[in-house]
Amino acid sequence: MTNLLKNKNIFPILSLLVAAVIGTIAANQFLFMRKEQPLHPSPALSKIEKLSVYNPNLTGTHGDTDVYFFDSGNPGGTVLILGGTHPNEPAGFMTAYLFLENCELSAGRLLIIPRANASAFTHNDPMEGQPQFITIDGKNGKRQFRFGSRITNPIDQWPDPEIYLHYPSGQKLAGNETRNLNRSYPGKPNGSLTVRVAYAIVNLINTEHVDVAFDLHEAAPEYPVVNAIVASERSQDIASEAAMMLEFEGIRYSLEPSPYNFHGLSHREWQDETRTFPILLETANPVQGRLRGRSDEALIITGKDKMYLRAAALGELHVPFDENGIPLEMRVARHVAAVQKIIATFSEYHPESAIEVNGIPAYEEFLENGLQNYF
Amino acid sequence: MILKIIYQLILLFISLLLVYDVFKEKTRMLQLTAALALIPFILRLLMIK
Repeated sequence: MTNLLKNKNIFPILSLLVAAVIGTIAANQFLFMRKEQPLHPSPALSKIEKLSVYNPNLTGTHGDTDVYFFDSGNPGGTVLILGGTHPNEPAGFMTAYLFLENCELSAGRLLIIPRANASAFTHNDPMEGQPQFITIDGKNGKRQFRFGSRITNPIDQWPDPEIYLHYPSGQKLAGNETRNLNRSYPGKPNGSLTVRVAYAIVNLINTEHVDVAFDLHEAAPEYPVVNAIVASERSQDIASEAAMMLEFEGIRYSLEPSPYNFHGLSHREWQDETRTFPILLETANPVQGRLRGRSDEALIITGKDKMYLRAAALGELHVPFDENGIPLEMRVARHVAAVQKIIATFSEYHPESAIEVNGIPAYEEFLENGLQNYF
Repeated sequence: MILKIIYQLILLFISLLLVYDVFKEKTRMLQLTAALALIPFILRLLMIK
């Protein structure tokens, strides 16, 4: 026994055992992040398809994800709601989840891709210190929702080039933007994982004859394009009317045109490559910003941050910000209100393709009842 | 795909060097440090993180 303890290899072996234990705990945490949290679609659900139906080259990859179809059975148009293009922008995917779990349809079809960049849900952005999950104390108990990264997991797509050359425009961007779904449209069937996902979404829009397509986002309060409806040329009329109607209801949105020469963005390429009416929505979220303090679940859910309060006092923000913060509830409520208003406006302009989505609360009702009452 | 294989071979090589180092370092602190440095390499090698 004494000889064994004196053996010079004992401590190295113990060190490797310690590393193995720590490594196993870490590995379990990382692998747990790949597990999808269950969603509970409303009874209006007609079918669930895989995105790989629209690009078979996604089959078996972490980029493949569920597409939920809600069909009223009555004539009308088709709406697509995309959440989770950037899984670190929770109002985007929570709004998609809210529609998915609560919608009822009386005309047309609603398609929802709640985790558009499924691979980006499987990791967090390095150096950001952001949480892995957000917890909502819902009507059926506590539910956890993954908080992910802006870009595809490098496990699924690696290495990044020095400079990302967008296909097919040849536009140059920073290398890691090669993993950003919202810089990868229109995509191609055989490119990188992110480009293949983009291609599948564009193909879905064309195949399913989607009339209105939403891409839901969040941005830092100091970012100029925030609390905004970004609309391409085709969507300008419905977006501007919807923005005015929202303003009458006290919900202020700025209207931003989709830039002609910035390629890879959803609204830009959906305009150019499909016949849909593309819309991108932005709300203001302090957890996205560079000025924020501690990046925990509380910041994501309450949207309260001392540093942003100070920045607001200095006039550095593009949105109103006070001691009440910008809670997740309000950010989702804004998205919900804008989506509903744009669908209603589109239906008014195109009665032959009208879409009627019910079961979703109005802005005030939603804020009164709280986010937790819908999950 | 070829890049990925080369990358994993490099990872395997560094991991083996680190294991060797755990046994060859003279102080316990350096032995433990080498063992802990091994964790991210193994997680990457197994394509977990």
